[in-house]
Amino acid sequence: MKKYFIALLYIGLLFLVVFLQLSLINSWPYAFSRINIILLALILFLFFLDFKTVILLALGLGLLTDIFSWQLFGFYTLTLFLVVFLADFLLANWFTNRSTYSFLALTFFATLSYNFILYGLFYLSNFLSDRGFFLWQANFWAGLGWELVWNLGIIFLFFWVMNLTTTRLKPVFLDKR
Amino acid sequence: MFKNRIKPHIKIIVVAGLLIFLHFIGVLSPLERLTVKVSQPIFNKLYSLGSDWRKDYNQKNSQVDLNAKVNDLENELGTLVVANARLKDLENENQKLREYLNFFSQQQMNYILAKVTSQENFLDSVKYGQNIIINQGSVNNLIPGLVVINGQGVVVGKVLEVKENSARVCLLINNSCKLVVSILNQNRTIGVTEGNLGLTVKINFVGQTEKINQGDIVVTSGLEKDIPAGLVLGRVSQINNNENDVWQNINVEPLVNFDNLGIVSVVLP
Repeated sequence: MKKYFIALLYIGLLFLVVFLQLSLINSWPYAFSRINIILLALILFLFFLDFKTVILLALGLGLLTDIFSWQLFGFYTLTLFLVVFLADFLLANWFTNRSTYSFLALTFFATLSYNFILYGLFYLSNFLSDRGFFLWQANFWAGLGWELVWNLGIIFLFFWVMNLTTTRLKPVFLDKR
Repeated sequence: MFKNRIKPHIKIIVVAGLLIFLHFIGVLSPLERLTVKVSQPIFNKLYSLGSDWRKDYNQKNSQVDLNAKVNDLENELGTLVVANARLKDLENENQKLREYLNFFSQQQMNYILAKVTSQENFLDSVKYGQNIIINQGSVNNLIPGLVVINGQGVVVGKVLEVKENSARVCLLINNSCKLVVSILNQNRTIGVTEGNLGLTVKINFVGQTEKINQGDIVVTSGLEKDIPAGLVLGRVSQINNNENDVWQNINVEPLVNFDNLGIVSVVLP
């Protein structure tokens, strides 16, 4: 029973994150609309949940976003999967503790990889249209800059508050196998 | 190492692939339609909350420019009063002529109201998300290419893609949103609009011999299938003529506030 309750809770959480991102945050003023809570949620999941649950949540987030998106179905799912595996690889090999620096570095790499993969896929799917290559566009870099500032700021704030309230931060990212 | 991390989760990856495959063969369509339909009221509510805040935020930011704008508008008001008086005379004259000619078949437009449910927001867009999503779709006879207007009848954009219960509309400022328009100058010059850096609109394919003035009104030309003529888009704000160019470089200031798009109308053929 408890298992189903938790599953329902997760599903509700996924819907909430996608609703907030696609309808609320996307309609905010320019700089604020660059907050990416789908990615932030995924990064936090990576730190607090086991990897299998994170992959399932990434699948749920990706599919939900794909349902509401007007891009080719599967782009968001594929991107989130790749970001999760890349982040897990970094966690297992590079960031072996739960310091704020690990969190921030992971957020930085995850944000970069998410946007490069996603916009790469968009570009490939629109290859024949007159849409310019995203890496040559100043707007892309400005948007990416804002997204990095928000994501890093929010993650930093989150763990700063957590450090104030709890002292139970143990090093859990050492590979147990 | 990387392989070892993926191996235990291969089942989930296969399930993801299968779900994507099922989407493309249409098996998931009923579930997706249901999800979209159930979510639309929540999307409407959240979008209006967000856009209200954006409107307030942008208004506060632009208060500095307001004084200058008030002066401009006062000057413009004087000109418009004169123009209005002249147009009223013309309207009376037109009315009488219509009566004489028994010509009352004034064209009625069919339209459908739609709520904006969300806004596409890509990193490479500038100030506004350049596409909006509305809550009417193919079940309401929407097809790609239809023109979308706001409450005052000013053109907002064009329907790009249609799903059963939703449609994706490109805003005029989107680079890939193109409309065949007519400039209300002496020759009723025809051109093609295109979004300019996500902020304004430019008109392409206007020859150097055409005489365009700043302030000329730009309307739809009626040359496009399913788009009636005479819908206002904006006014010419800047003309940069370089004699070596084949075409004139014309910028148009849209008359629609893209921050304030809660409800729009789609003009049906």
